Amino acid sequence: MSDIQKVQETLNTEGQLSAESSVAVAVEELPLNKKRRVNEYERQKTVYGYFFLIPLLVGFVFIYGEILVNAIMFSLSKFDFTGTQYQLVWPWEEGGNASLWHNYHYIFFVQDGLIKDLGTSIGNMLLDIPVVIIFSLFIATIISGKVPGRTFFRAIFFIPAVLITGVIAESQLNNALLNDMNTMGGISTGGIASTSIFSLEDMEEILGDIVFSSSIFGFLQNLVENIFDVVNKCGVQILIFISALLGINPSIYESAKIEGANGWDCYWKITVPMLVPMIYVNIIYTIVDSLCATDNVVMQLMDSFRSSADYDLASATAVTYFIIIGLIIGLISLVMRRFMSKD
Amino acid sequence: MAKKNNEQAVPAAVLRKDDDNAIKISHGYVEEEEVVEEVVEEFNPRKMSKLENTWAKAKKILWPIVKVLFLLEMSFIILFPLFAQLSTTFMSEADVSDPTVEYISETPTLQNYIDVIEVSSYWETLITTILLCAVVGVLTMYVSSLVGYGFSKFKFKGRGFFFAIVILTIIIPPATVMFPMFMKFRFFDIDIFGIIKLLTGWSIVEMITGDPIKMTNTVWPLILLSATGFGFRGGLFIFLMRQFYNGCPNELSEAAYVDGATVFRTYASIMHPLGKSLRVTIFLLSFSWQWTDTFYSGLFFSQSFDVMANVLQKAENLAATNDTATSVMTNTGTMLILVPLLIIFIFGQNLMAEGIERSGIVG
Repeated sequence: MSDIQKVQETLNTEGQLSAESSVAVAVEELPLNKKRRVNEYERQKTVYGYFFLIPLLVGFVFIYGEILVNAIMFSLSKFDFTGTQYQLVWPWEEGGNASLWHNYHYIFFVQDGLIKDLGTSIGNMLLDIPVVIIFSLFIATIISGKVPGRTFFRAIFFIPAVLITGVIAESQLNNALLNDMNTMGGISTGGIASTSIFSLEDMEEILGDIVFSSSIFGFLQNLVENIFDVVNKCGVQILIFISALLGINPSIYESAKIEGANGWDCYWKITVPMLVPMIYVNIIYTIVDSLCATDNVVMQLMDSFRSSADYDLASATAVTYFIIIGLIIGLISLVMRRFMSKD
Repeated sequence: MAKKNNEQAVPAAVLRKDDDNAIKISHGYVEEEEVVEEVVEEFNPRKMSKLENTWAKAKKILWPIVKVLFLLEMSFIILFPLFAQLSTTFMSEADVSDPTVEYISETPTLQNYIDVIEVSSYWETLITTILLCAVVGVLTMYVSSLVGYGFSKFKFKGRGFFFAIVILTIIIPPATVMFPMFMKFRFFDIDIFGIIKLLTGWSIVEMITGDPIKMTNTVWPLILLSATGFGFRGGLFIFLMRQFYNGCPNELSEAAYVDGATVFRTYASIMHPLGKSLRVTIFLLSFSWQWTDTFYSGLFFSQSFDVMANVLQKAENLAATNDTATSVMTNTGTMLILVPLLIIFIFGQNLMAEGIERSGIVG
């Protein structure tokens, strides 16, 4: 850095224009009203930001802020629910030696298993990220390109995004008939493998000894067996990638091809760098989706608190949980920022 | 050995030279007949043997087939459970108890559909849900685009703080805010963080109308939440739009501004049209999440309210007590919920592709 600065200094003292000062001259040479407009624009930018945020600000001040404050208050006080009315009892109202953090103390030290649960769910999440990102990028690349019948396929790959939430997920969760079918030799039991010529067991025997260590193989085998879950987890990410891929101007590829780039170069030097912002979004979505899924162990712990009307404990767990998620996302943002500052 | 190598090396070099010439000649020949893409491949300085040529041609034919086979396989994985659900909806009670019937009913019937449509007042529900989802989807789409643009292109005090709140709404487990949210809309009041009420006991709405507004069992909670960017996964959409606008060069808006457009005009006529494909995606996602939503529907609507989430419950109530009969009704309800959504998606998807063609200057 210092060398570059030295060179720049010598260039300036010698009277030669560096790139920056030439720009400055160019701005100075603009007609007065245009120059004023540029300055004014910079100033306006600081003020007008708030105008674009008006919906969010109004919502936060009048609606969501109160909801958040209440949720945090629940976690700090004792929740008293008597039939139709609820009441928050603060530690100082209760008397005795109750502290403000008694709910947190309870979930961490009295009731055990929270730390272990946190470990498992974060571990699962870390395994989910590469699988989901690579798989959804792969699928999105295929469907957004030229494929026969892509309207049909895009409609199909929209289904998982709908399935993961709400009423349709519920309808499949406790479905007696569907469960019967699956155990009869459906896909989720790996039944396909046992009837085919080349079964998963064979593959384990061959690959497990030669190529992979057993833990990596176990992980891959798990992926193959639960391919339905993997596809379902990728629904939203696939859609986000597709819309990002469709947004890339085709003339960029055209000019790259004329310069002599092949498909491989185009993919790694144009497509992937342009997708980095959306990879970031998808990583964060995957984290949240994995940590806030209904079958997550910590979420189930919260549910069990809620079903026994311990809203205070559930809130304390939730507050702890989202502080941890926030820290993870902060860490990942720091890493991702290095990739994104390049361009 | 060394001698032999030398002897071989000389003719090889000559041969390569000849080959280069041959390629150039053949290139001139190819250019006249084949499409431009092929020419670009021929520019490759690497020597291309006949084998490689046929391989390249084979790749052109084989690659789409491989892709389609792979996609078909994935589609099978996605569709199979739905197909299983669909097949049971045509079953009569005799089929359900018959162990030899697995997927194809022996006495197919539409009675299940007729029953569920009747009991759930399906057509009214369909219209209500389409309207509700459309309003929520459109609001979410425009608000997230607006707020995302604000976060991306402006530097102002508190930007980091407000963006942290957006991220917070994504990462907060929805069940955490369930109870406070219900209380907020059950006794709706205009208040700043609930502090005025807490400190003074005053309630602005109560002073005017005498009672707090009861918003449960109306669509207002959903409309207010989505209009302020706090709807279901609203934070995700804002984040998505911010990332998108981060990728758009600043020079575009600066140029428009220097040419005399105001900040809002720049947004409306330059930046907003660029994001169309992403906005359509956001619309489709928030539309369909609202369509299948049980969280807000369970929170704000009673069982008798005509939204899709209640169709399932009503269908299940129809069935006798045994498990399989219930799942037949569940599956019928699911199909009635899912099919209109898929039809709407196929239309919306064409919009998505259209958006790209019209906004030519991305990147």
